[in-house]
Amino acid sequence: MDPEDIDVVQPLDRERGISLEDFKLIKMHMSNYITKLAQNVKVRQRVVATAITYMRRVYTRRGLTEFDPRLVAPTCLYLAAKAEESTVQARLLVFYIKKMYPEDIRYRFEIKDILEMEMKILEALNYYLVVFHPYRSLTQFLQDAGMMDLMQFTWGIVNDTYKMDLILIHPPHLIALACIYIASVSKEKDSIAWFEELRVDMNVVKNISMEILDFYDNMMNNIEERINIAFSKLPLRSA
Amino acid sequence: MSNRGGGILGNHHHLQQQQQQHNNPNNKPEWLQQYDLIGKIGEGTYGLVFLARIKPPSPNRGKSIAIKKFKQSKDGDGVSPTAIREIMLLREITHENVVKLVNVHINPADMSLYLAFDYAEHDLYVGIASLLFVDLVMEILSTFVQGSGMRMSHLYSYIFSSLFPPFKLLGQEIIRYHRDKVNQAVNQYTVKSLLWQLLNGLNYLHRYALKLQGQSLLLVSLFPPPPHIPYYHGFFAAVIGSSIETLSHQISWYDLACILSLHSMMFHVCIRNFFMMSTCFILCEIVSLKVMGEGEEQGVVKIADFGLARIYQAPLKPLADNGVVVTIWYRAPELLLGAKHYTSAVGILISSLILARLTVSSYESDMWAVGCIFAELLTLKPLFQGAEVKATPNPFQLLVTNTKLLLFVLIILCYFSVINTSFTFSQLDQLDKIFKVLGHPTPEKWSTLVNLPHWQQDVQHIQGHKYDNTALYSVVHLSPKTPAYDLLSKMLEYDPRKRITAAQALEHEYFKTEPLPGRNAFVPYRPDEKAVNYPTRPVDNTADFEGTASIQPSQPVQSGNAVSGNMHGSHIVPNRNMPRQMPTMVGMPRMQPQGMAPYNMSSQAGVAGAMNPGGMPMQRGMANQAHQQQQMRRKDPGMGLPGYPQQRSRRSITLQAAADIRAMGLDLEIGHLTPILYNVNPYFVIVIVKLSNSELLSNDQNLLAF
Repeated sequence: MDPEDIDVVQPLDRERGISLEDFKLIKMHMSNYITKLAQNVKVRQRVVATAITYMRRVYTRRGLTEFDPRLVAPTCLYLAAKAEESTVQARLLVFYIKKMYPEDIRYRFEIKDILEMEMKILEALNYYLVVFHPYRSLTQFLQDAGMMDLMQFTWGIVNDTYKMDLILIHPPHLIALACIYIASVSKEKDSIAWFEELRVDMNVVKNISMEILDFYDNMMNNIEERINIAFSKLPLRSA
Repeated sequence: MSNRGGGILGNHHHLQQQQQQHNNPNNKPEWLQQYDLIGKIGEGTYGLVFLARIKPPSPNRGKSIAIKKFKQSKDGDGVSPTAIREIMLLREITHENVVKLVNVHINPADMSLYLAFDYAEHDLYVGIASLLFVDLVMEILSTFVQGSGMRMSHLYSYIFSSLFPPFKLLGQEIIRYHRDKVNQAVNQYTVKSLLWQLLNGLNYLHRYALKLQGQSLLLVSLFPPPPHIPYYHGFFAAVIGSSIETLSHQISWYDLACILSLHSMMFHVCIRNFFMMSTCFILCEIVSLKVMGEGEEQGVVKIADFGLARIYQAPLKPLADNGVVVTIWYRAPELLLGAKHYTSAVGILISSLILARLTVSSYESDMWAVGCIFAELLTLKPLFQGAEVKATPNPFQLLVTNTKLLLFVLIILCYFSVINTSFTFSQLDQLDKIFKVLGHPTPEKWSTLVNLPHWQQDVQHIQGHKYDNTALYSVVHLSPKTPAYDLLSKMLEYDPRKRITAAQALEHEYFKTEPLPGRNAFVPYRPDEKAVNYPTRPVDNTADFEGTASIQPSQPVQSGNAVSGNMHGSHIVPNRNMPRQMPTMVGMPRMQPQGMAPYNMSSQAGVAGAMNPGGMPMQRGMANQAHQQQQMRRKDPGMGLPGYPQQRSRRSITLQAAADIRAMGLDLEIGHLTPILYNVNPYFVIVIVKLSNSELLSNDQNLLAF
């Protein structure tokens, strides 16, 4: 996918004053939300990654106003868990959502809401459910490069890439390479020779790395506040 | 600007409409109106399958579609994971010889899901591909056995479901039909076309697996899995040791095939719940080779049923040395000789027909199997029919359901012998059969031969008999000069590295000489030839999409459904009541398809006529013949086939099983996980019991009571 197709704020959202920046922040926040929720229900990282990818795919076609992200996020996790063979019960998700946001009425959902949303998400995804992730190639690359000591650090960076739309734009193995690149540079490992042996376009890898680094920079300044502002622009559920 | 708003409104409207329709069951949902429902063709635990045709306004009008309706889950778990997996894989795979997912529909009103497929009329002899799959189950099983701290050199597994309505098994297999009913060879053109399509599909899947990256593995399933199991918390599994060979002479290959899918499903749960094995080697299985029987796509081979298929991503742990498997008629000699480096060479996992792994050499045992199938198509007999080891009959399995609570109780009996010799009699015999036909392999012809463990271990045995001549051509009645013989011999090349690949085979001269392979394997090649009328699938044209029969409630099976019509989707389908009386009705599963026949029959003539307005040659006279064939099938379910293991009545096996379980003095503990290990010489018994619901208790007592 091209970034131009992804960074589109749907007309109805734009009407509500949601900017591209807000759109990205909300998606990022929802990615974190999925991750936290997943920690509670204990599913593997790949399920989380798939769930986030589903969520991002959905919002390339549907607007935030139309599909409430607070509901889309848990539902994507629910669907991804099924697709990745580690089914999580809907009532468990509902339980943990309540636990995470005991006061917040905007996060109050019933099992029925999740099941309904699941259907809508399946439709929005046009039933394309297979997602590939950088994790597998990451392990292979690190093994090949003999840099297994960087595993944990790099794995963390890969996890962070899901806070962006990278997974919709670039092939997973290039994302993995970019993360290895960042890791090796910041840990001052000499990996240039190894990268040169690979038959990949290093320009793309470097571009992805730059995007990741830009993202980290951007994260620095009062992110919480900006997220809150972005969310305030979302419509309240007419329950 | 208000595009999105329109969407929402539209949605609401749609929803309202659906709700109205739900209230008024006579109204079809809007999307269904593009199809003409012809009838129900199958029913299983996962849902219902309907035959329908696309209505006129569409450019594909008249085209037959199989619509699979998934039963929605009861416990509020949304779309069934089975459906999700099936959609997942089918969305990614597009090929003429892989069954095509035409459309997906969701009915938000009752949350039911419909998959529309191209319709496949005939199931190609399923046993072929499927039995090879057991290898896979073995691999999984052995992993879990290792996980539990046991060590064994051989592992045989077998699982069985007596519940699974073998309606799928009604599929009319071409080979069997020819052998038993027509008593004449399959026509050359048909053989060639089927083979070509098989190779074509295989080639695609092999390449697809390559494309998937890494060690991806694509497995294709034969039968739908029980959809409830993933939801299912308490389950009951018994794993009992024995060799599969002992079983296979009691149970037809056909049964075996149907069982396997269930099996592996069981293993998923088993592994997930208890053993938490490495990330995701949950995968499956067999291929159903469906041959389209109608219209434009008549006679096109489709690889179908992805219900249990997975894209396999995590590499399996290399396993020490686990052994041989189930039917070995289609196994490549390198496997028989104990090639065991799964990653680098052929592997147990890999031998499955459609199972594909990145390592190129893994495809070669597939090709061996294709070669065997080719020869079987030519002669109607299995090419290398090794002896099955005769031993005491052993218990197999039972599957008990409680319809009220939709709880599944599964018993799996897996047979594995412990500390067996590394090389079994049946393996030896199989090799002997191969050598008899193909001559002895020599290290000159097959350079890696000397590295294969059994070749070295058992030199006298293997090399004892000397077969020098190649007698293949006389077995398959082909002159050595013909391209067909050339292709066959290339598929049956001893050295896996020299064996022809699917891609190369497609380029082979055989497919370039007359008669050229065609998309329709069933039309007569020359106009003067008579087309063979294969029996068609029985269609119950009284059913509607709800699985109910509002039209003719007088029909016994359907009326049961009609009653539950209002709460349709509540999973209560007549045959599901059956297990409640499990002990007394063990004979039921086999009888069920026959029981279905009467009402299918009444509809058969009409359907066959209506199905093919264009009058494709194959369908000529179908109406009359279908009736006849149907009757023949009823009299002879086709189990006691010459050359195939005799089918004992299910009842007697089940009773035998019960007796054996008792004889072994198995204690079935309920309510908690109880692994019991019995060393019943020479078999090992593991029983894993986990029941979380007291409701299961009664089932269980039933089970023990008989």
